[in-house]
Amino acid sequence: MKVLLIEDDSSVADFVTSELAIKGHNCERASTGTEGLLAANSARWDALIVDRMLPKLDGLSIIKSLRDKGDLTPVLILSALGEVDDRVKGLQIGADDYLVKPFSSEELMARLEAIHRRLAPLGADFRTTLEAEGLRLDLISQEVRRAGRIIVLQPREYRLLEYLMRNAGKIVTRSMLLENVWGYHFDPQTNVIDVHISRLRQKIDRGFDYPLVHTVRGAGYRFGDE
Amino acid sequence: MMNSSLIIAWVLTLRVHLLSRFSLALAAVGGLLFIVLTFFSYSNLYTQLNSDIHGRIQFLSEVYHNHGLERLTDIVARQGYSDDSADVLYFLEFKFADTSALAPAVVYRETATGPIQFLWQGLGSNTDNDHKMLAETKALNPGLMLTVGRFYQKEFDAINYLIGNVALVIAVFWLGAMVTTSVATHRALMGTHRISKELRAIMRQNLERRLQPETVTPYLKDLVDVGNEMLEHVALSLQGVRSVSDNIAHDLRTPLTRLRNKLTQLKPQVPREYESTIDELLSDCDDLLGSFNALLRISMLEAGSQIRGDAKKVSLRVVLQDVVDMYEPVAHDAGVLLDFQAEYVDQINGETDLLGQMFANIIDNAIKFTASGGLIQIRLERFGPEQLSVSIADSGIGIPQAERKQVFRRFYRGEPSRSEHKGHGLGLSLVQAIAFYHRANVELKDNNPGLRVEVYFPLAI
Repeated sequence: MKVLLIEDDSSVADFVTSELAIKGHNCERASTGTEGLLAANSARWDALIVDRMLPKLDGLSIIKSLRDKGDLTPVLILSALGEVDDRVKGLQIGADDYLVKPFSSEELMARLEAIHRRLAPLGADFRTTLEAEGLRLDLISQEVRRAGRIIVLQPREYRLLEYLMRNAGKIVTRSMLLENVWGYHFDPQTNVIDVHISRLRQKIDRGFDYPLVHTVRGAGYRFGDE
Repeated sequence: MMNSSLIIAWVLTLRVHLLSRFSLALAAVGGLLFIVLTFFSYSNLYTQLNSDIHGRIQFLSEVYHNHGLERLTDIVARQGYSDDSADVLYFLEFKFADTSALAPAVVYRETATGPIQFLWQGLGSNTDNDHKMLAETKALNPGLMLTVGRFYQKEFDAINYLIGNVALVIAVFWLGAMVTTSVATHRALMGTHRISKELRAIMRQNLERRLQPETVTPYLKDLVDVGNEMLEHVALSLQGVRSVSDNIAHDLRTPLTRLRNKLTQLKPQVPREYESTIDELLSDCDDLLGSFNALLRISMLEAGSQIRGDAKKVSLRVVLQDVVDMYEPVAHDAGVLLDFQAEYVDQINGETDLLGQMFANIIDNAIKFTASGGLIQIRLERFGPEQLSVSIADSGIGIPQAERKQVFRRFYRGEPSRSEHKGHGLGLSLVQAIAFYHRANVELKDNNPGLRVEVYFPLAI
């Protein structure tokens, strides 16, 4: 993945660059808003990581000017501001996701890959079935089969499975699940998400040779193998 | 409408004013003045009358001693019994003769030493009225009594008239003083009333706004200036709080995240037997980060401005249903039943994520402190004309009355919570901060058994 990072704080930039490098991604850096916008326009990127507070031109303006031109490159906003307003504003202006500093490397990578996938396979949204590891999910009839056997899921379990399958092979964090499956952004108490996952597992993994939903310790969950 | 309410307000001020200490003191001074004046007027009258009578007796007594009885009777006869128009009455009584027929109405006592007062009912037929009279008797010789009487009804009436008028003047003066001072006070109060109204609006809506010194009377300008200065201080300390919060975020969360990230990077490189230790360290980091985040959110919510009337409208029913769905499996695993019933009610101004966090915290607590087989009832109802009430009632161990205030304090953890449950002790503080942001009230009540958390939200404007 070719990523452009627009960030003025060099310690954050170093961290992101090294994390991306570990995962085998290629990362370019810009440290001011104007420099960043120039770089964003001068090449095709797989994803942009943009800090909100930047010298010369702020992050939201960069995203707005890209979107106004019809540039749909996935954008992940980094921000130290954690208030509700900021998040909503960022997403409204056309960012694909929002990450509040400080963040863990898992959260960054999981979200970056998720926004990248969202756009990557052209026509992904026209798929009517999702299929992976012998599990088949019919997006129209909402029927779930594993090895030919029908599995009955509650609506919420179905949406959870759908999100996991759309991100098959990749880590999804608990807060990503909360945001995308439940539509809420807050700190879930205790183990709410885990309980839902374990319910889902009971239905789709029980009685089969190998599990489909894996726990990634310290990070989240993954559907299928890496 | 404004006018009538102003008048009502003024009448109220006046009523309060009339009962005020100032008014009572003024009335007391007026009353005292009246009493003193009355006392001196009457005592002065009597002194004058006495000395007049006494002088006449002296004079007649000298006439008798120097010139004899004949001369005396001459004078007495001339001025004597007289008619009702005369002020003075002389009366000679010979002890040895029966003279009572001459003065049927004159009553006196021989033992009397000073002048005595009585009513003269007159001798003639032309008198309808009683007349006040003061009289003194002196024995000129053992057989001869001289009585000098003095009518004083006219003087008495004059003094009464004067005193009555003085009383009236005092009363009018008092009332006038009350009305003028109450009008003045009321006008001053209206000024302060406007200022307090303005301040309240600033407090609720926008702390950046300031009072307008031009709109108030000059003597309130100082108050306005002080108010503005205070708002300035508040704004500054708010900024201080924010920057402290930001510092916490920056100074503590950032290195903690770095620590966490290094631990993650370290994990694949350590021998297998240390992996679980690293996982524990990671989860400790997550707990700490969770505390910092919660603390930061609480500070931001408490220091920031409250939700505005133009904020997004949210259905509490939907949010509650989502949170109940989210927690249903958790409750199920704990053997607790979640029972949610909601009226179809209007929306409130709110932030969905914050409200979700709030109900998640309350329901999470309820599940934690309710034993298996318990019931949690969640209700959404309309409460009065302008509020909605959300009640989350569990059948768990409850919170003792004495602790109910403390549980909202940051990092406070009740005894059972401390010993049996994991948590950072910020859950209810965050609930209260979110309630504050939404202008809602949180109340903790006894559910007999268990705890009932009630949150009252104002309806959307």
